[in-house]
Amino acid sequence: MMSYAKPRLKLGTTLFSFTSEFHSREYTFEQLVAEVARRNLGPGLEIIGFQSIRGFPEVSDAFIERFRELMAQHRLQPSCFDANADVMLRRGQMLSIEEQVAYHEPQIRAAARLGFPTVRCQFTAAPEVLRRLVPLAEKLNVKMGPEIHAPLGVNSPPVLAYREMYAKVNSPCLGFVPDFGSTARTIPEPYLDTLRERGIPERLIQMALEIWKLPLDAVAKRAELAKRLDGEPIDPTYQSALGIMYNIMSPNDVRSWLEIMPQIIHVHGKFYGFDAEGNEASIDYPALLKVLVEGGYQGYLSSEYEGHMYSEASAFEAVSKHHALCRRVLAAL
Amino acid sequence: MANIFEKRLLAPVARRTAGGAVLDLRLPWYRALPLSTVEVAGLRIDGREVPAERMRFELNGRTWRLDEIGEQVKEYWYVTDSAFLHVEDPALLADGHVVELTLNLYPPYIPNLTWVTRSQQTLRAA
Repeated sequence: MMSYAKPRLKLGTTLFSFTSEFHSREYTFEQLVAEVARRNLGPGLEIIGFQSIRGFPEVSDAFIERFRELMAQHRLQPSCFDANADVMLRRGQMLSIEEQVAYHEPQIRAAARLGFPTVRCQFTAAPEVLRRLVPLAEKLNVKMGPEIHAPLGVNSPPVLAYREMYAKVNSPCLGFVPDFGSTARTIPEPYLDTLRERGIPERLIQMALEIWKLPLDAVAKRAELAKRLDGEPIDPTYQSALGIMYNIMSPNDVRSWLEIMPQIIHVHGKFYGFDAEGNEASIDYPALLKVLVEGGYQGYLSSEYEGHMYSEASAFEAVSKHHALCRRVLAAL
Repeated sequence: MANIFEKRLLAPVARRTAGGAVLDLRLPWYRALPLSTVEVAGLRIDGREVPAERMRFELNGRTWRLDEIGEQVKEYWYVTDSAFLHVEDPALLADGHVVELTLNLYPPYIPNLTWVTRSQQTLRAA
């Protein structure tokens, strides 16, 4: 039996958290890496190929060498490399399965050359695409799998299709990357504030939130919203703005991750902000970390700050608070 | 849809040319995108629409007509790079005109999403 006494999951950070700092040209890629290390936000470091690497999906030997130097210099560990399933390269025209496989190959090779053990993929690619990539992943010794992000949960049809393929192929290289936004307890306040700023009445926001809690998929929730708003004399843009909340986060049961625990290869610790006590109001970290530790998860948990979509506050401060919260919760487990 | 990249979409400082100006644009997204998924949806100067044939799009040292950029599947707009919109319009020969740009993105891994970003600047020459 595995001992549950000592949490063995490792913390880390995805550079996606610092999208504002990077996009505004305040920090270069190397400066972000250095700052993550200086603030002790590792040891895991996750990057998005198409964000951090100019010229991606081509990656030069010089970049590979420099990246490995940076990891050694700052004592960081490559945790997860985020690939993208760009199936609609040409608008309105889907790549064939063969083309999708070919689009993933250089991304997986880049991950391995950079020293990443894990590749985050996306459900936009059909299970058949990843199935055909298994021999490459096995040869390169990397794990790969799509991210389970809201509105999906472990039992959503696209996830079940992957689980079925995994059961048949039975490769140690195949897994999933949960995003905690899939098992949220409520919609983050900063997001609701953007709706209030648009002038949407509080009564309608609360109505949309009630529907959010129902055990329905995102499409059915939007249909329910349309039904309840029918006949309301409102600005037509309100309905679409309210309906987006069903794709940002979902209220799946935190314990649902246990169903796929052996297949979890990386985790996105999504968060938006903190209350005065340092807790995340929209995501129940004590409950979620308990589930990971109970399940014997030994991989990385990347702090993934998404508050930059709504706020210009320092992402470094936010990620530091997230690490403090995770350390506090893990120490008490 | 308002988004956080709005304020960086269009720089307030432009480079003047013989017949107009070159506007400095930033990609309103967190990762590099193929240029084929970018669309210049409209440019207004003091509320007046500029015809597409008076504009050229420059990225990575290459220049296209606006109706050609949908074909550029191998040209990526990197997330910290500027692209440049060459605009032939005599109004831009003087400072102080209000320019409004609308740029649509069709992120290729999120089928059916159109990401609309609009930004307005009172332009001045560098």
